[in-house]
Amino acid sequence: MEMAADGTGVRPVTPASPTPRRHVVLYALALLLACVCVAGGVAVYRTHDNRESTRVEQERYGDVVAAASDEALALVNIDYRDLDTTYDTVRAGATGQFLKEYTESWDEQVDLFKQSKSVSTGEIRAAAVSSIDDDSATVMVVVEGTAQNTATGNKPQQRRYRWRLDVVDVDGAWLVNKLEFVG
Amino acid sequence: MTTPGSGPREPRRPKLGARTPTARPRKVAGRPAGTGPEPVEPVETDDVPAEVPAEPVEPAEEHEHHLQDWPNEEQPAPRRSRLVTAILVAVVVLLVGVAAAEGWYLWGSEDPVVSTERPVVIGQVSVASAVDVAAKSAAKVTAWSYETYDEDVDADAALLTDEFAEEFRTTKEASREKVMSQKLAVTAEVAMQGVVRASPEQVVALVYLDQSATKDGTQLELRQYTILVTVLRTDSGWLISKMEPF
Repeated sequence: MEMAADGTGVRPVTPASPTPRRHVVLYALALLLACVCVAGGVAVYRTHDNRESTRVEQERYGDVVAAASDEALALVNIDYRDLDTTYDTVRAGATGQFLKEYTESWDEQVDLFKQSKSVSTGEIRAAAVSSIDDDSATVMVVVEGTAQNTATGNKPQQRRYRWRLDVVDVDGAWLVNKLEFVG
Repeated sequence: MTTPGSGPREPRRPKLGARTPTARPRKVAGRPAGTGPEPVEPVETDDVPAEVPAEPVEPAEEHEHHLQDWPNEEQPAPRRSRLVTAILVAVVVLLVGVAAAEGWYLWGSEDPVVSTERPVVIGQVSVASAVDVAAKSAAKVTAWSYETYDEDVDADAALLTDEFAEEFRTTKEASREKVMSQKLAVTAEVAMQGVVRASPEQVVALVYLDQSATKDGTQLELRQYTILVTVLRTDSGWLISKMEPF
């Protein structure tokens, strides 16, 4: 069709000359926009990548705090009548050296809790991330609560702990491998 | 095909040569000169299939042929042209839409907000520096001496936002008398620091602080504090807007 138009010279004669001009403008505009879209697409792709890795990095703060806080709660909420729950929960959130020490000292602790009829409760007063990288973090956890046993005359006594917990990523789960009191 | 085609070919040849003298040689460059008009002929028939059977009878009447030919060519042309215009406009609109969506993604989408799942929404380096300022400032504000009481207050106030500085000065003024008479002095040391949450404008830090005090030279009991320190980004850097010891 086009060849025919060119060959016969129909196009140059066509009186409807504004039509091609309009088309040229539209073609040019479309081309320009296509370039913009391609450049924009590349920028979007890169930005998306960036934002994704940033999101993963920043959500890690929340993940390590949650893991350390859960472990801290498992450790302070003790009832001498139900020590198995404590044991299982704490062990589930522990790994490495901390798991080893906790497991090894458990029998001794059981005797102590039972003898003193220990009941303690606690909640997280504050938690923060001290340092963090891809697969490990150091978390600060302040636990506040009450403890009662034969030594306190079986009356609840206020307690507060400043803890430092080291957590590591073990197959996608953050587990505590070290716990110490600060101060 | 060749028979009906020979009709329109005759009258058209001069047209070509007259209007676009250079067009013809270019078009037939690959072919022998003698067959020049030939390629034009079969294609031409496409455009005027209905006209052709009638035309051969009057090949000489050039003008009449033209007049009859134009309306037939013109009829589909604007329609086609309108269609092309519509398609082009649609493409342009579509591309504008795509570009707008990309622009929105790049510049228009909202910054992430601080939540429990994502307590930090700024880079690690910014967090570290803000937390560092919070901890150091908190330790400085917590340490003072009866010997340099007023200077301490002025120096400490510079680390706080205007609003908090005002509150701070009021508190310090209220305890001045006691500090002076009992010759109290306090030193503070940061035992540990960390980030609770952080946005571009505000960072909350948790600071473990060890405070030791002396009363007229006598050492008092060491006290361990935990403080939640809020710092705000201002023109003069991160300034403390809130301190919550517990």
